[in-house]
Amino acid sequence: MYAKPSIGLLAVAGAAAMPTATPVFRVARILLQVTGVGFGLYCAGAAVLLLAGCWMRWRDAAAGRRRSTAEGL
Amino acid sequence: MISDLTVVGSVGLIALAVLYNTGMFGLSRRSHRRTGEQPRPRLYVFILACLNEEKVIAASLSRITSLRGDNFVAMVIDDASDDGTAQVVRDIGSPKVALYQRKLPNARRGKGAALNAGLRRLREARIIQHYDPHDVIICVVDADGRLDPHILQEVNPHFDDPATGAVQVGVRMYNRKQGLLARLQDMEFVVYGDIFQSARRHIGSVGMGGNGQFMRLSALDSLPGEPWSDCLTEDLDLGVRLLAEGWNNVHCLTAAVHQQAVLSLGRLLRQRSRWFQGHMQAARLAPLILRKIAPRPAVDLLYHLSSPVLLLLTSLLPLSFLLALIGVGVASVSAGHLLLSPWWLPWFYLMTFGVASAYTHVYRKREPDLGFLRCVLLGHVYVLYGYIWFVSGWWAVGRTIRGRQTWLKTART
Repeated sequence: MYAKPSIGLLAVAGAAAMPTATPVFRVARILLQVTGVGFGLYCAGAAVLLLAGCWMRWRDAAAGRRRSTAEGL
Repeated sequence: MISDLTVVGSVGLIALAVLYNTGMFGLSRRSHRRTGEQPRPRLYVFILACLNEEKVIAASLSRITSLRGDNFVAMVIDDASDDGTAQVVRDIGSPKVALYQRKLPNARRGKGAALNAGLRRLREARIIQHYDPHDVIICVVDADGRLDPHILQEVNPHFDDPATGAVQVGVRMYNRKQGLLARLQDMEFVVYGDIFQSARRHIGSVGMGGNGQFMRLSALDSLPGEPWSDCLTEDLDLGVRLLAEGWNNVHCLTAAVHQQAVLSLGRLLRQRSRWFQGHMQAARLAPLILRKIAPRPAVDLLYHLSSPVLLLLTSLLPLSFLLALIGVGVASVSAGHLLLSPWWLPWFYLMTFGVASAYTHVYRKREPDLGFLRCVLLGHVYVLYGYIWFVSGWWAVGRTIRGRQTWLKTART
């Protein structure tokens, strides 16, 4: 189950190639925009995940260091 | 300006998918070196969780009992079947086959619960006591699963590496000659195994499937809690948790388990919706991945886990394309001439079906008798077949919104 790029490229190519702004074309463009906004949110979520991951690992490493220091005492 | 940016976002999504798929194809073509110590004597235990499987269980057990070697047994977990599953197993009368019958109300709580119960029972068995848990390999096979005769000889060397926790074999459809839909499912599993799983051997993020998963007992013992969860895709869940415990998952390209393809579109959509919903449930694994899995496999696993979101987003694009096409048609009729340059046609074709050449190449290696032209044609149909995920994806979203989390299993024919 992976994102299929083929029709996507077609859609963008088709929308970009459209010569006139008919109502149908506007709807097609809106669908593209919804996808684009969704992908923007996805990227923002990925960035948050990246930061959360870094923070979790840093916190776990710090806790590990504290534990080993305490055991050394 | 903002409107243009959002369209650029769509292009970004497509670029990500193209880059990922191409990168995985490239990685999958690289060879993989196997490391390991001296082989040790091991016991293989095949576990088959069955609920009303009288139609298929005899053939599966017959394949298992005729495997080469004498270092294996099979345990059938009958999850309170209404049909004659238990009797069929008893009638086989092989010393290599054991039957464990679960009773209601504890039975029928999902495949994961049945497998956990079976493993608990297995731990008490005498045969296990003669082996170190590191040398006991549990293999989960679906009731319709037919294993390649050489499967143990192909899987066993992977366990010579003490870090290997699990090995997933390829999955094929044994009824792939029964129509186009079955053939496409076979191609789908070949593409998934030979491209994505194969590439993941280099990344360290090989996933487990529900059928043909081999796991060390010691690896299962190392997991916190019970090995199989109540998630609809308990196999995906298990694979990630094994990686998080520091085990390596391996994909074996040289042996496969053959299962029954679904032969009607309705059943296929229903099956994929179940998988899609399970995939969405698996998002709960994200914190575990972030915390415990090395960065490279973690990125791949997070991409894999988030693929339902990407799929739902890309599902709007075919609609957009269709509307754009209608728009061009209407505008061309009004203008009296074609408003779209014919030069777009090869571009459209290349973008839509270019990927088919990679799939054709991979599938033809597995099915050399199919013929080049037939394979090329199949590759094209396969691209369109991939869009069933859009329908099943939205179906799964609908079920999730309505709070429906359980599914009836796919019926055998």
